Amino acid sequence: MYSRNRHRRYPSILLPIVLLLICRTFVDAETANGTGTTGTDESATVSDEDSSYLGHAQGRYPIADINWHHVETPYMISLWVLFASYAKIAFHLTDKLAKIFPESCLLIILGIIVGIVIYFAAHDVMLDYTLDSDTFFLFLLPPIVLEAGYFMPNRSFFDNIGTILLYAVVGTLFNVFCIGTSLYGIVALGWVSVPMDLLDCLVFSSLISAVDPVAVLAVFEEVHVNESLFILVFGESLLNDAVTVVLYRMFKQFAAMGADNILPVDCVVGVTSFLIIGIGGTLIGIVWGLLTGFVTKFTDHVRVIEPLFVFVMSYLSYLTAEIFGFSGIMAIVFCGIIMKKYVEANISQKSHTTVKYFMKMLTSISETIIFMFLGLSAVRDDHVWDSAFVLCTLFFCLFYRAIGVIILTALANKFRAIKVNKVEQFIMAYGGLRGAIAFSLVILLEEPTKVMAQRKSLFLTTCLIVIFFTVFVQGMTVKPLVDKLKVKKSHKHKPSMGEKIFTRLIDHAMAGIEDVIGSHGHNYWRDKWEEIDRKYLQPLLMREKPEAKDSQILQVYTNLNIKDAMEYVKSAGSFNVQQGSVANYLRRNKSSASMGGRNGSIPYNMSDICLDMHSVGGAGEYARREVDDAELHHISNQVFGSMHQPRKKSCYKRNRHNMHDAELEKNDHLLRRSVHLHLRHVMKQRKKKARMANRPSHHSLNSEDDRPSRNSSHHSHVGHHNGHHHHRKEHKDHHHKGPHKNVSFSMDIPFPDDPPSFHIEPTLKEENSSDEEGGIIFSATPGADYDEEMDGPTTAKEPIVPTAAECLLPWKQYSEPRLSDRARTESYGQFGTPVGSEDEDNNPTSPGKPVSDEGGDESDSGITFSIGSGEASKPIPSPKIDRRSYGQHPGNIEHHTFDPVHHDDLTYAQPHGEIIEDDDHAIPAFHNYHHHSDADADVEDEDDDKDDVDHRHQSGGRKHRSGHHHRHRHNADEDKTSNPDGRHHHHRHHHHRHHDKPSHFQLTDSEGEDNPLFKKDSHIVEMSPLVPQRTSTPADLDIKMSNKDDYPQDQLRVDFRSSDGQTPLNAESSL
Amino acid sequence: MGSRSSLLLRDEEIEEIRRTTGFSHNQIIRLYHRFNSLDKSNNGFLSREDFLRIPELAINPLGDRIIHAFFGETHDSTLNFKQYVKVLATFRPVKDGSDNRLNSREEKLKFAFKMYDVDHNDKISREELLLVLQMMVGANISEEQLGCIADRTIQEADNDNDGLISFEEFQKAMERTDVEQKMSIRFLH
Repeated sequence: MYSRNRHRRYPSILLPIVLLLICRTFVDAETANGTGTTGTDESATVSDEDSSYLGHAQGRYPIADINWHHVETPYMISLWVLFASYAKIAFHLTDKLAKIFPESCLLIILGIIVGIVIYFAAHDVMLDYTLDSDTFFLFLLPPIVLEAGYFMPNRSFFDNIGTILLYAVVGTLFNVFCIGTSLYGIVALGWVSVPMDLLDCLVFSSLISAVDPVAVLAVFEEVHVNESLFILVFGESLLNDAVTVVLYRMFKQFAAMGADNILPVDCVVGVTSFLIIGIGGTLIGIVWGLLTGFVTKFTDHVRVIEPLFVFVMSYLSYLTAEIFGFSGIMAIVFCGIIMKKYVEANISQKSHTTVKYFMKMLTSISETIIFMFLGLSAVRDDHVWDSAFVLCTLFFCLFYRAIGVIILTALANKFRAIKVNKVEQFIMAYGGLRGAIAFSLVILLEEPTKVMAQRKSLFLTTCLIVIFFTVFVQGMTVKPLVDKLKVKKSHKHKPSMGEKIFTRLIDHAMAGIEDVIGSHGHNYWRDKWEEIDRKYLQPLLMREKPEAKDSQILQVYTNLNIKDAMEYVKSAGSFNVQQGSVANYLRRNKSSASMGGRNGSIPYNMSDICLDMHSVGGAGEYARREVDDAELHHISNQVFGSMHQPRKKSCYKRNRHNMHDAELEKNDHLLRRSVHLHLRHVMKQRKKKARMANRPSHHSLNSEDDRPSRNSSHHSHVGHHNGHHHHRKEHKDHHHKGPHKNVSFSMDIPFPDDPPSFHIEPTLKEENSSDEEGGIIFSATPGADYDEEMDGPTTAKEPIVPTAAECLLPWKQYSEPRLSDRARTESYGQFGTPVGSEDEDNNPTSPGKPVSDEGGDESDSGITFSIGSGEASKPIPSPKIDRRSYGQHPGNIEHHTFDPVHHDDLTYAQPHGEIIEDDDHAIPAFHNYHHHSDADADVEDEDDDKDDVDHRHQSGGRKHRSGHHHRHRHNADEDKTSNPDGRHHHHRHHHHRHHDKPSHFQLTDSEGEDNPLFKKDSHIVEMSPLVPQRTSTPADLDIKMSNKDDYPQDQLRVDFRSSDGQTPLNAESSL
Repeated sequence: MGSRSSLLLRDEEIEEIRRTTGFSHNQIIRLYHRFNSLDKSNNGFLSREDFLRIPELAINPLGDRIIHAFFGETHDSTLNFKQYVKVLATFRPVKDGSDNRLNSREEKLKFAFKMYDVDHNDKISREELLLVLQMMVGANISEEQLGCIADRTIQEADNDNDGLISFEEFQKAMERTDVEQKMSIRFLH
């Protein structure tokens, strides 16, 4: 009741203070008028009068009104929080101050200073102006305790739970009774002026004995003692809450009833209620914790409110416990402990960060306010000073604390594997700080009579003295003492990979040893718990059932990778566009060799992948970048693809409640590091070779023509599409064996003025993504599906007859004997399918018409891509050439039209010469657009505003997804991207390998003989990514594919020609 | 029956074990009872099968390796009581000032190391690490992924760049870990 009233007045009480601090004039007016009444009432009256005057006397609508009362409460609270925060900033401005004093001390001092100011400025309100216990228990304490529970070092907490409970329960009981009776002793001796009986003493001792978690946390956070010592002190302070609550209530009740009326049964009830309060609180916490875990299982579409669940539900656990009179502190602590694991597995990384920081922030501000108000509350009129009582209490507190610790440690050590040594005992005893909980409990004492009021005042004074003494003297000296006594400090560090693995091994080993000797120690129980957790709780509470039995190891690995990536970005600068692509960048990195792992660091056989980036000369600067991107992306995807379990296909609907965290999600990070390390390594090697070779590169490209066409403002994500699936299928049957006869085919198809754009429907429609803005999901359908889809057109397609040139193709040569006619036809048919489908289905995407137009409703990012064959690309003539270039190896070439991607003001066309390792099981995961490395995407994941392309690759029933957030610019003339001029044509080679007999198609090849990374039978795939052009000069691209013998070893020949076919440009370059 | 009685510990044996291992008399008796209850065949030796019969150990993902490490020093397939106690003595808590070498940090770590080192060459190879990882992490994670982890682990620890983790490197990797605490068991008195 008392506090409820107070609570209502609380903000108004603050008013004069803030007026003092903030608004000088207002205060002056108020204090001038305010004699005789409290400042609060006065100010209220003043503003009331003001507004009523304005409103009523004139009877007109006021131009402006002072609506102070309307905002008063939140305004005051905000100002206080702000003030406290300023105070915090100020403290940390001076290192010296912060070194000597713990923050809590400084805040108390500040509180006292402010209190004195107020005391003289507005003396009358001073009495009301204290730490309000309702506010404290309902608003200030929960965040602190929640944080304590949520970030509880679980392992050491539960390893030491026995000892902690011993201290918390027995220790507190011991202290309460010893201090209580001792105090009664001095009262009985007549040393104390205020009359009190034993129960009063016990009430007081019950509130003064408890070690305060807030104070302990505030001090020990700055003193980095070892974890087990910390958890002993801190755990005790948390768990003694139940004892404190029970004893306090019980004695208060007893005191109210009067000593004579107490029956033995009351004591029994008291003991029982202790169990109920403690266990009840714990259970409520556990239930809410599990519930939170369960709820967050379903929040993947409402990411933004994930943190809310954590806070609200844990707060509810606190309140629920309070409803029943259970220990709210224990409830919220256990809620935090329990929920953490599951919540973290379910919520996104961003939500996790939010939770973490918001929690820390709340805690910090709560702590600040608590200590400031403790200081403020000390400045008051009604202190009753009784030297004997105050000093004796102080002495008893320290003395019994020490005695209690010594006795209980002796007891605990009997059962502990690791004994608590003398020094640690001392620190434990010394760390018994008292704090705001005790103070708030004193405030809650009733004061119906004058004697009781006097007693309460005495208790209050004593309590404050004890708090200040412990916080100041002990809090300030504990750090030097810890240093002096050489207490084992904690070395907080993130575990390294090895450490984690070895530690986990040790855990298992110790559980095993305990099994061997047949005793059930904590290792045994931990093992049991982990088993239960894994078998029942995780499947129930986690969205994705962890694949690993030991997710900790994977987690550490992921974290380390993230860290590495971040550090890499930090140390090496950003992967920014100006510096070229990531691949480019990595290649340049001189330190890469040292960072690059052994070959073994990537299980995927990287040596089969050639990472050659030919410089295509001045023009090539751009083209190379494209190649780099494509390659890097491709390779990483290959690696990832083979490592990642395919993710569940889920449609990303983007709205503001649905944040994408694809790249932040757990598995996406995994293994990235190794890939990049390896990439660096490989690239470095190549670079070296190149330097040694020191061959002049042949650039015959006009640099003018190779620039990205900045004006054509279309960005495209070239989709990977079904197209390659049939290729895959087809090529399963084609084996490349050994070196082949040189084959070179080049596609010199001048683009007609109005080049048709071949278009394959992105699978977005299947993805149901019509409401996606900019996010396009490309998903390659599994082969089986594809067959079904394509069968019709296939059959309808006129048979393609192999040409002579075709027969030269190595894969033909080798595969043909083994291929049945039917199979061949089939493969052709499959190849021809896209063409057929376009021709026959009269695909709305006519040549020149942008795909994006058609798909415009789906994507404003204007995706244009086409996968087609030569026939399609060239509706008319030269079937022969078509044959050669496409028909031969139908599956291997995809013709994409695509538009330059605008990225950071630069426009790129993104070619995708990608090597598909087409194993039966491998996932041909390739991302067409990869400008950032995955790690990079991580870094700038803010920019996922619009164009969030979710490339999904699905193949053979397996899906591979990786989300990338790419930033794109759209220019106004986006619509015009359909214009062939703005389009780049992109040829993609898919090399299909059988996993038994990999044919080493390389994007490029050079010095293959020397470089172990290259295989003899590598083919040179020449990719001439469509040279970026100004809009007016579209370029075509030639792809040459040849065995390397065919071309002078390391020469890359790229034929560029503008789309009108008039100005062929040749770029030949070599490493 | 005869063999049974010969298994009974004599006082001087207990005394000897007490001196070498640091276990108290009672602890040795207790361990001896446990030893006998594990020894289903009553022949005074524990075989691997005896260990595997312990239900919890059988489901321990690393149960096999624990047994392997138990038998690490004896190259025969059995373990007598003295050897058994000697291995267990490794896990006695480290007391300040006690000079028993059996339960030193190094010995504790050696036990862990032996769990990896299947081929007794005093090096942990990538394959050995990978095997242990598979046991711990489970089959659902692809080998490539685990391979990456193993590689990273070796890379971290491998100071001499031989691609193997020697015991010294292992110790170094664990130097920040509170091995004394983690690898101690309270033996009932």
